[in-house]
Amino acid sequence: MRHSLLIVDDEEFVRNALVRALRNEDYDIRTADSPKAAWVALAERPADIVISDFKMPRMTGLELLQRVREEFPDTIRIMLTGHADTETVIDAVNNSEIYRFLTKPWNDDELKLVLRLAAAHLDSMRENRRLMELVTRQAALLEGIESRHPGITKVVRSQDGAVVIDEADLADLIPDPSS
Amino acid sequence: MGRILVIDDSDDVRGFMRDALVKDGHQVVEASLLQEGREWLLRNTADAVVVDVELPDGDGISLIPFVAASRPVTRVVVVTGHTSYEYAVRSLHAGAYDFIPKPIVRDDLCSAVRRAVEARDLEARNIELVSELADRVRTVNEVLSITREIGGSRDLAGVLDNSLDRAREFFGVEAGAIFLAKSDVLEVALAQGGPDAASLAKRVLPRGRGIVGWVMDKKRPLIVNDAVRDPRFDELVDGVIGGFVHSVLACPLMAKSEAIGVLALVNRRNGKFTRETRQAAETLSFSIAAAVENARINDKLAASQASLVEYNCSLERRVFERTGELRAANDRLASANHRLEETRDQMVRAEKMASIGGIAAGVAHEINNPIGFINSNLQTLKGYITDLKPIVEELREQCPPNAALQERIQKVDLDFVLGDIETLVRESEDGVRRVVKIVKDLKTYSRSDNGPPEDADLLVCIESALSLSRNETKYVADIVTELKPMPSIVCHPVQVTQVLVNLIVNAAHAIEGHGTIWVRTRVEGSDVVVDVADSGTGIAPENLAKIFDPFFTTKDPGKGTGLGLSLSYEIVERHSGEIRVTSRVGEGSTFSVRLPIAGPAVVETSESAA
Repeated sequence: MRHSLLIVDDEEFVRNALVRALRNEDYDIRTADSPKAAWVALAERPADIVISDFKMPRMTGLELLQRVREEFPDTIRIMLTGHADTETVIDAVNNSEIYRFLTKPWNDDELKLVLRLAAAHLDSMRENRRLMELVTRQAALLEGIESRHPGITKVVRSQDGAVVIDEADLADLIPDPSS
Repeated sequence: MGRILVIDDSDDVRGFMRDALVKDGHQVVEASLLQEGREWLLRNTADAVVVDVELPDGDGISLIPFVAASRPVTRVVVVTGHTSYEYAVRSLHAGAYDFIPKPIVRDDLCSAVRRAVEARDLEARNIELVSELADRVRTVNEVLSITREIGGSRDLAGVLDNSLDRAREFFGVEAGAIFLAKSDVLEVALAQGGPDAASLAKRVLPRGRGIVGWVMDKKRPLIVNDAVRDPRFDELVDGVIGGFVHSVLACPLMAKSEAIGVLALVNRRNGKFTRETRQAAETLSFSIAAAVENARINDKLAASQASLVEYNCSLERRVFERTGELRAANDRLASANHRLEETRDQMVRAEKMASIGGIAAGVAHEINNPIGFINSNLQTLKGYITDLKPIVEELREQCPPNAALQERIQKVDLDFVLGDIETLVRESEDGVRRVVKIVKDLKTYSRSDNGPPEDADLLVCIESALSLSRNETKYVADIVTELKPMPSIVCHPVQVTQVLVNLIVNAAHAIEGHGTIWVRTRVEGSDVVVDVADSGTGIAPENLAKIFDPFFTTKDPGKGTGLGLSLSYEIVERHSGEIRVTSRVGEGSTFSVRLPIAGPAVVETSESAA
């Protein structure tokens, strides 16, 4: 599945360079020249990853990413800035829970790597959530079975570890193939 | 009254005269003949002789020269029956004292004899007086000579010793002492002649006691014979004068109507002091007193002179000391001034750094943006070229260009362009890298991106720095490390490592051909010191002052930004440390970085944390 990427920077050449650098990576790339435009784009269609500059007119990248976090918690947030002082970094990490803090000038290879990791992180997060949901569903199912057939979900083991099967209950254990 | 020799051959006359003279209080010796009288006179003395002119054995007048020769003071009164003028003249010429005619009138006789005796007494007294006068003159001369000697001497002890010596000799006394008053006591200034005399000097005695005390108090000379029995005698005081005291002569030493002491002389046996001795002693006492006063004044003068000299010396010493102090103060001022200048230079430098840092921080974003896309674009361009180049090659092979295209290919020199384009990109990348480094270095000046300092192992920093700089050092220098174990220090390890990298890379750059770089560590008090030394070309003296200035470099363009040392200086400064350099042209340089183990001073950390 292609991941969607939103690049936010007020400088066109930076946006272009980033798009170029990522041309051969498998991303659905959109760009925005301001936090406002980014917000419009996200409202239209959420993005998997947002890369934002820090210093932009009217609103900082940090404020943008903070709002993104509130509105789209799943979106991976990356900061790319040429103005990397300690305070900004600490603020970014603590208040916006951003995924990575990259500095300008960036290294293309590093950028690609970070994005791949972010995408993988996102994927595993989603997979994790899917599995969680599966587990929850199955737990609910088991609960339903147990309520209908008390004791059926309990496994009895003998002293040597073998599972003890009660012949009488065997018929109940055979699941309905349709479920 | 007197002893009278009466010579007359007439018993009656003789008896008459004897009776008259005895009655007048005289002692009378009688002689009837001239010879008899002469003989008596040879053995005895008479105050006067009464002689008859006409005696059986000669002329009474002839006795006159005899008496004058043998008994000059004895007066001769001539008695005669001749009332002639001639006799009278003769006898008077011969030296007779008086002339009494016969018959003798009692009153005449008595008065003549009385006058003769008186004359004789006067004469005798005169002679005595003359001799006494001579004695006096001698005494006075002696005293004067002693006085002169006393006055001529400046040394009091010598004066006293000499005067007492002379006094004893002159007065013929056996022992003596000089006492001098000292505040409320009496001190024995000198004792001579007595037993243990030498040991008595400087002995301190109470005042007001003994004969000596009496003389002091009364300011009067005193002679005491058989002194031991005198009620004023005090063994403790007067005993000092000399052994078994028999008679004592004590004179006050008077100076300006004050008794300043006593001169005491003693006769231990039978000798008694006379009035004359007393007077001489008195005179001597005045001299001694004057001499003592003189000597005292001299002593005072000498003392004040000595204290003047002393004061002078101490003044000179103090001037010397003060000069020294002034010089020291001057030196301190000079060094303070020097420190001030250094501080000012540091402040100027720090100010320069800070403003550079501020500018850098401000423009970093602006520079980093274009650098960001230039750098990225260069990578992309490289990718494009990598993609395009084989395609172009292949196109040229597979579709040989027509003449017009061939011409254009030759015109742009396609082969060169294809070959150069990679170099161009590579060089551009290098340029970008340099710009990036400068911006990064400049930003280090800005103090905003420091975390709090932490405990770090300096040896780890050194190891990191050595491996980070390996590319620069491996072909030009052998690295010799002398690393001693040391405590961890509070610092920004990344920055410290950066400093060390700068120094090691500089050392490598200073080496022409192949050389050695030494990295040594040591602990000095509360500091650690890292030396980075090289066997390179050294730093020209005129450059030594400038090497820590930003953008100062002697390296080829592109090889150094001129920020490394200035940055290192800044970093070490921020660590409250010190960086020093010693260098000899042609021999190499040594950079010493001194860092406090305890880390940056508190002010510094709070400032950088703010």
